Amino acid sequence: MTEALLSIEGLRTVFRSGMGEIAAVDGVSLSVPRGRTLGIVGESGCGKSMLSLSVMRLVPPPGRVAAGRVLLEGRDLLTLPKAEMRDVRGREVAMIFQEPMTSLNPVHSIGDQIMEAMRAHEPRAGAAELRDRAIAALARVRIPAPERRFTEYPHQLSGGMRQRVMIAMALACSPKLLIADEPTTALDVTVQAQILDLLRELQSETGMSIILITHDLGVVAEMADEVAVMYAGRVAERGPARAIFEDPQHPYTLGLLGSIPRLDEERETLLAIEGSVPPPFALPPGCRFAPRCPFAISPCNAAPPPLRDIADAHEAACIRAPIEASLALGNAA
Amino acid sequence: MSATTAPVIIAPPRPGLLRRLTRDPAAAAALAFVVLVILAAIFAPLLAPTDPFDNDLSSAMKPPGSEGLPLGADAQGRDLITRLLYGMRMSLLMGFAAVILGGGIGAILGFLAAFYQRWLDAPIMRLVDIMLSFPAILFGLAIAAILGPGILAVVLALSVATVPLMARIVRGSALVVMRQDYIEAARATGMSDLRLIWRHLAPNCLSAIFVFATLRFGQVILLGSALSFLGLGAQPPIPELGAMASEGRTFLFFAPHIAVIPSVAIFLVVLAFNLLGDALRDALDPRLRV
Repeated sequence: MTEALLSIEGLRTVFRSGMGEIAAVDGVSLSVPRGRTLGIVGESGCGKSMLSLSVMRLVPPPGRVAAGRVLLEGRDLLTLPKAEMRDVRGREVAMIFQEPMTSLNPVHSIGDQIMEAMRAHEPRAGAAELRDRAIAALARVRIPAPERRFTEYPHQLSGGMRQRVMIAMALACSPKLLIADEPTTALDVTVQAQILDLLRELQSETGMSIILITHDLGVVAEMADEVAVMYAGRVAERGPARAIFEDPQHPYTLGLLGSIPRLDEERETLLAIEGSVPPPFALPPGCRFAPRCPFAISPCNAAPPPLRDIADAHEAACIRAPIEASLALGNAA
Repeated sequence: MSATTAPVIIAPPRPGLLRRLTRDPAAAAALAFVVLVILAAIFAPLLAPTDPFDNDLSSAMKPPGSEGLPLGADAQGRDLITRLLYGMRMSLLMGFAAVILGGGIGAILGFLAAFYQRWLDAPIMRLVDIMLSFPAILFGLAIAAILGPGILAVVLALSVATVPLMARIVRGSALVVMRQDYIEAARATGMSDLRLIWRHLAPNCLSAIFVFATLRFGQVILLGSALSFLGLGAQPPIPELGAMASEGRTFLFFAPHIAVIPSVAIFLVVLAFNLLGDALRDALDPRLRV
């Protein structure tokens, strides 16, 4: 594995609520290699979005990061003074969001918003220079006729175009890390593929790292070098993308893979994981997946299983791993 | 939108604000009247046939329609057309100053309360509640007692009375904007709080501010006239609609036009601003937008 650009250590993000503190992210450790893509997969509510907002220090109140470190090139973002953190946002770590339809301000033109993102870090740059750079940024994300788009407003653009604008904004100051939170979920499948292609191309042009957050394993398979599977605020399994897809070791990962339709295998029915994610205020004491797990045995309920090495750089938080291939859910049907 | 390679959502053309505003005949009439009144107030020195302080006791209390005096003259024999034009000018100026000053401070408080919801919302809104519990007339009395009656006292009183109302309206609409994704997205680009408020929060609250300012303008003119009528505001011989009505009330039985003409003017101006404010609200309501 190459040197890590970002490493997250023991991150815990909690929300105060009527039922006490609820941990949306509970002791997550991950690292993002330089120039590579980390895919974070999980169902809604597993804490993957909160994880990314914690990295940006944008967790909405009453939430807060309670413990852990977020090291960007060795510097802990969680202890930076506010003003320095503001400087990190956009310049070193940028973010794009799920809803390109609502992530642009309807009252400003596309060009204004991109220039605004640049101005946040270069207050002294002249208007003409910013304009040229904003148009170049639009061209870089393959928006046709960027000079004309520059003066248009968000409502005049399609969803895919808006997501391109968001990407142009995010990359305006050449960040080292781009966090993409479900960047294609709201888009048509064909547009999805275009956006993913674009992200890959931009990555090879700029050498940035990407954290790709998604619930779509297909997107991860296409994009990610490393994969982390999250369940109920914890990392269930992580490792190189190849290993996760070819030799999944956590029953939850198996379940996720079993619920994707495939054309190259004959399968009567898709497998669904029984039950649903436990609510964060009623988590089981042991393995959080145990109540839904077909392989669960009584020790599973005793204590949360730690991440264990299964193979080279491949870890799973399951006491039953490595599960024999014959037992694998995907082949059982 | 010309043909491009990308699929483009084509929004149905939205008629301009003016078209939407004037679809309702009452609103169109109100708008026309307001424009007329504002122009008349601005150009009062050019339009007025005489000086507002010129008195000619020989024509005192002449009824409307007298020769050379289409609206008659007041008790001092001053031309009521002139007095009306200058009075309107003074009333509008007071209202304008109060809405700008009070509305501006109120809007800033509202933005701060919504943006720093955790720290400033409760203190600012409790302050607003306290301010709302005093009637505007009481502010007028208190300020007139300190500064002495006059136009400045009225403007300050009206401003103070406008602050809490505007703060509430702006906070409400800013809280909705704060929940929008583009606020979070802009934060993620590393923008400072002040720029976020100025560039992203404020512009999206403008329609609420405009609607309320228009409605409030009418109310403020009415309140200002009331304060002047009570003798707390413009002092004779300064022409101001409320003060003119007050001067005329002594002669209500011999020369009713002296009090009635400024009163009708107040009524029409306030009515026009209220209608215009309502129409603006309908025209700017985001729920009615495409």
